[in-house]
Amino acid sequence: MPDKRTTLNILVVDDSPPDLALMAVMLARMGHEAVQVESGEAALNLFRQRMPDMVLMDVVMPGMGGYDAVREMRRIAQDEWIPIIFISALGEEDDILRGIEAGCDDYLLKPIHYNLLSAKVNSLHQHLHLFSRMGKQGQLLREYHERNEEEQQTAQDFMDRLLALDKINDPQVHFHLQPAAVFSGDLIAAARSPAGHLYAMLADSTGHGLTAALAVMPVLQSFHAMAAKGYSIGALAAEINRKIREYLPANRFVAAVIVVLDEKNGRVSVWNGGCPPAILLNQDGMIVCQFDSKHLPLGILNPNHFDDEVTHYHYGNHRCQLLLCSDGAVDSADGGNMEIGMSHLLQVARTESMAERLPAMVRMLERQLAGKQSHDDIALILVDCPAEKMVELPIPEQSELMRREANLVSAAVAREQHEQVEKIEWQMALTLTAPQLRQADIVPLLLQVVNQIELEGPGLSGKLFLILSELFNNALDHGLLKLDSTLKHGPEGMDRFFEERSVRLKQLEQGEIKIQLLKVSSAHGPCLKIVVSDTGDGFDLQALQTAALDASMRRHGRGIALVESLSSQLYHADNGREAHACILL
Amino acid sequence: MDIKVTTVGSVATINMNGRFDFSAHRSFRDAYDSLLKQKDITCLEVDLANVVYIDSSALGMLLLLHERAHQEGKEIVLCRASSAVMQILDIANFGKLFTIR
Repeated sequence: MPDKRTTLNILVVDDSPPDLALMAVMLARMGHEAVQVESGEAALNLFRQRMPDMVLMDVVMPGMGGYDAVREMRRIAQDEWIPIIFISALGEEDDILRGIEAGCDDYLLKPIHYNLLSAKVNSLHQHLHLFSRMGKQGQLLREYHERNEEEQQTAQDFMDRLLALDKINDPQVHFHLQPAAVFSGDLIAAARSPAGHLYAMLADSTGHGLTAALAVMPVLQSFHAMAAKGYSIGALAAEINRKIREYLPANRFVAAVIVVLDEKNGRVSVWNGGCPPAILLNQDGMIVCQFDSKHLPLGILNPNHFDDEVTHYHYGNHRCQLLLCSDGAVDSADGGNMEIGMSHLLQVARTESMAERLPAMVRMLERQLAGKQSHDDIALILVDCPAEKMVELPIPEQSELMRREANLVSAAVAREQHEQVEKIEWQMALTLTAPQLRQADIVPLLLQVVNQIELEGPGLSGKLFLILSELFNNALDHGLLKLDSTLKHGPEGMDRFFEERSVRLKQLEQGEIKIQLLKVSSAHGPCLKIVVSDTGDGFDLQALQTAALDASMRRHGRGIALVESLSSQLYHADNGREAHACILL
Repeated sequence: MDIKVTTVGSVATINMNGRFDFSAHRSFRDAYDSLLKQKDITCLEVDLANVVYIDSSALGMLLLLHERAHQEGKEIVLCRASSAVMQILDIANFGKLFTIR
């Protein structure tokens, strides 16, 4: 490529040898190299063999004239610009016009003056230089663009794979995810904990393309790993916050709303940092509860300052639906105004049945966008919240009740009798003291215990986990924290209960819960015995038994009823401080 | 974006206008970089009165400013946000991190 000082290779075409020689001398003086030919045909041949940097062309020649030769040269060198100057004795306006039409860049009249030729050649040389620099920059820009496209594509593929891993197939979770033109990192996920709690998350990371996708990975991984272990969503949010802060620069963060649904207790819990409000809707689409963003998005606060406070709501035995949406969705519902956008979404909820809400919301967004691409990802999740599952306690017949009472009385005796014929294969015990109970999320710990045991029968691990967690919670709530189950009564009962529970747990100074697991071979075959004991005051066994009969008290009889239905035997000892359950293996 | 900076005593005000998004990245950083170096400035005000739109990358830039200012021991105040901009700051709970007036 020619630069300002390079020697140009110039093709000079003229049927007059003296003119040809003169021009060659002049060009040599300018520091350029002249290749001389005497006809249009010869010029084209050379032109094809070796493209010159510039051409000086006579117009009138025997055989192929200058105009035709230049037209042909332009055709041959379509993608390149080679400056061509006509040099002719024909000086009429028409001649010059024809020359320009044929494709020349300049037209000089014979006789040739050195200064004029030199000025023209220099000026075209400058243009050539500029042109080649632009070409190089254009090439760089094209390469850069291609590389960028490829990276965007990689980001998209990467995200697609991540999200594919997360195929959401929970029948209670309905979602819509519509990426913007440039992928911008909205993400949804759902999972079940071992206890059957439904976790869902809608997250929106800053930035676009690869940087947005990078933030998504730690978020998804932590979500699944911790949901699978049954951690609280507060702990889950704290972990994701820690990861994002650790891996990503300060201006990157992830707005997220994380929810967990406890169907058994008819309760939703929400941690919302930087997302539009999560909204609990009843069957008529009216707002039952609104969970506003109470926290900074994930990845901003130092882990020591992170606020893992979760908002709970007990919706009880009314079927509900929880709506989560990204700001892209709210934005698109009304070009920019969040409040109006949200009200449009809620309007749809009021006019449609639960099953029809999501498709109707998507149609509404499409109408609002009117064929335009949204500038942000659109994500919507609707989580079905079925009415609290009242475990129907079998109402014992009078004789059954008497049998139970007899059981109670003879429980201690029975225990001794059992132990005589039982052979213990192995046993393990775990004692949790007050500081551990205050700080640790115990449920994941219980799950670890269960996983270590490797029970073989179908569903046994789940059964064991449920029994363990129910008995553990009873020991903690009623034994150590001395919470009265009647707190749970009434519409706000559940919330009151959980609030009081967290207050008392923080203040717990003393007390222990001991968990024992024993694999024994009994007269009935191999079985696993679970003993959970606490250092609380115990309770009146008889009162509990009778209370279970009272239909209005069912809200708190459920845990025990559940354990009873899962185990082959359940009894309390030590004035209620010890619960014994047994599953046949 | 054309960013104006005015300094009165120890308080420097950065006047943002129009769309506060990634396109403002360089000019915003240029605006606060020199202010952070000035010892006699103890408070940086980001005036959002003329901002019509703010997005998450702008929130990211504010976070970056917050971190840098924190290192220099300077205070950051976000002020005069319109209701649309305020809504975004509220949802992100920036009130927990910044003084908002």
